[in-house]
Amino acid sequence: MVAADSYRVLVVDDEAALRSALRAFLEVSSKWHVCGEAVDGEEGVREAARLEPNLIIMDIAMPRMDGIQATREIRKILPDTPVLMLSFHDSPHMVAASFRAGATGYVVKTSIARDLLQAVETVSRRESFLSEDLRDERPHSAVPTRDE
Amino acid sequence: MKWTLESRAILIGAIVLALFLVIGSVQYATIHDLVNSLEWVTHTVAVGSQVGTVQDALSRCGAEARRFVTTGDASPLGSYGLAVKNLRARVEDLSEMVADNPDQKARIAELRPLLDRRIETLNQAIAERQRGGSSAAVIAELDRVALAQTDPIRQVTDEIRDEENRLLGERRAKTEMNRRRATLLVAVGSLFAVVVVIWGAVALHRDVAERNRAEAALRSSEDALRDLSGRLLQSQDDERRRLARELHDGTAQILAAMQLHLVTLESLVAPAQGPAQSSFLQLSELLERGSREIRTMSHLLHPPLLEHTGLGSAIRWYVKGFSDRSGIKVEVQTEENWPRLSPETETALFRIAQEALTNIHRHSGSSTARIKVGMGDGRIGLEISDDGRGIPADVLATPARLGVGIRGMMERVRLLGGKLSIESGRWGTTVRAELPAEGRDGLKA
Repeated sequence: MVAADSYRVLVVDDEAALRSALRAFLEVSSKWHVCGEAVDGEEGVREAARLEPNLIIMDIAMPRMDGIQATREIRKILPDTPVLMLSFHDSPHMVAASFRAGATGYVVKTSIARDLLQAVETVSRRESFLSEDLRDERPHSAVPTRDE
Repeated sequence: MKWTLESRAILIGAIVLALFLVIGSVQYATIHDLVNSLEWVTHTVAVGSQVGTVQDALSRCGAEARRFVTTGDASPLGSYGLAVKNLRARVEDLSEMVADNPDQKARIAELRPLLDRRIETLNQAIAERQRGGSSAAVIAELDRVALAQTDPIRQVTDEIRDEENRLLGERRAKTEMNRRRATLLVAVGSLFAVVVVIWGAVALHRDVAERNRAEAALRSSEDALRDLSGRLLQSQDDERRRLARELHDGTAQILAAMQLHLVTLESLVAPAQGPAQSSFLQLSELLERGSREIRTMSHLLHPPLLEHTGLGSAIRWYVKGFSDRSGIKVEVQTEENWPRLSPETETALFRIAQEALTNIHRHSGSSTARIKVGMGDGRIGLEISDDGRGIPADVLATPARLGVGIRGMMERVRLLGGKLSIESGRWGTTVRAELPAEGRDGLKA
């Protein structure tokens, strides 16, 4: 049963096990509802346009179209929908590229269990989020501050 | 016993040399005999001629004495005296010339008194004429004894000449035989030399052809080895990239999913307390640690930044982790806005920097290092230096003693048409790599 006021989340990740884990994790709470899944960037852009979710969780490394390019495309059709990037990459360059493309938050997958809940709640308020591991060194001016 | 090519060549050379020596010695002896027999022929002819000279000298003595006796004019007496001296000298010469021949010596001994008697007769005739004897009477006396005295002389000189003619015949025959032998030997020797030269030329040609074939095979083998070495490096890079992707796209994703499922499970059975909560917490931490290790391993195998953002950021990322792990402070100088280079060039330079830093950590003892990357004139240069103890000069001078890592660096650079140099001393070590800066489109960056 989906609560009427729940957040509709689109999960874009090429790994089925992770999509399934994300769905299970989010739907423990009635606050979140995974309205759709996509296996690559291209499908992610199509599903985002079709479903108009409240939040998009986006993997970066995917076949055909990567998450950064997909975020750039989604920004053109859904400028206000927060996009939370999920990646194993923790380099400042990758984070900066994600934020330049229009991402709202960035979670490093190694600490997904610790950071994800806080991340989805933060970005759903359209506030930026960075995994704790990335906060030591602010990677790039492209990352917006919470005040922005 | 198995003969090597070299020992076979030495043996054949020794046999050929020995044959040349034998032929040469026989030729020398034969030619020596020929010259000797020619000298004997000449000598014999000279002896024959000398016999004629003696006869002429005797005739001259007789003629001069007769002239005086006939005319009574004293002027021929001087000539007569000279003719007698000449006769004696010619006889002495002849005697010396036949000194080696006892028969001829005996004939000369027989000749001497005959000649003396003849001269004595002539002297008596001259003396008689000088005392006032009539010319006709003295001449008549001379004519009377002339035949009796000159016949024995002629007989002896003819015997001497005959003996010399016989010897001349023998010696000419011997000379002819020696000449034929010498000609034959020279012909055989020349033929042998020609055969040896032809055989040597054929063998040399065969050897050169064989050597050329061996060199071509060696070059081909070296090319194949280089090709193999390049393929191995490429294959190693591909394998690292594949493993990195497997770890990243497979194992790491599953670990992330497990972490999420664990948190979900914890919240579903929650509120977990006591030992259960502790187990959840430990499991979560272990999963996170495992996930980080997998990621590090994957990124070290093939840094994703090398594909996504380029060499500079990949080096900086690697250096940060390297410094954390090793405690070595590394200063990096790179430009931000270079055009992207071909994946092969970027991978090669990244691997060289990685290998050089690993060597610094393992061997140099340096606590600092520097990496500089610069581009210009269509080339890209990478320099890695440290302040460590340096590489021993004898090791640096012997490529085989350098580690696999350094040789791998050299091979990578060579494959891309660049050059690598290493300078080392007590001040530290500097590795410089320079490559054509080929862009992603195959054109110069």
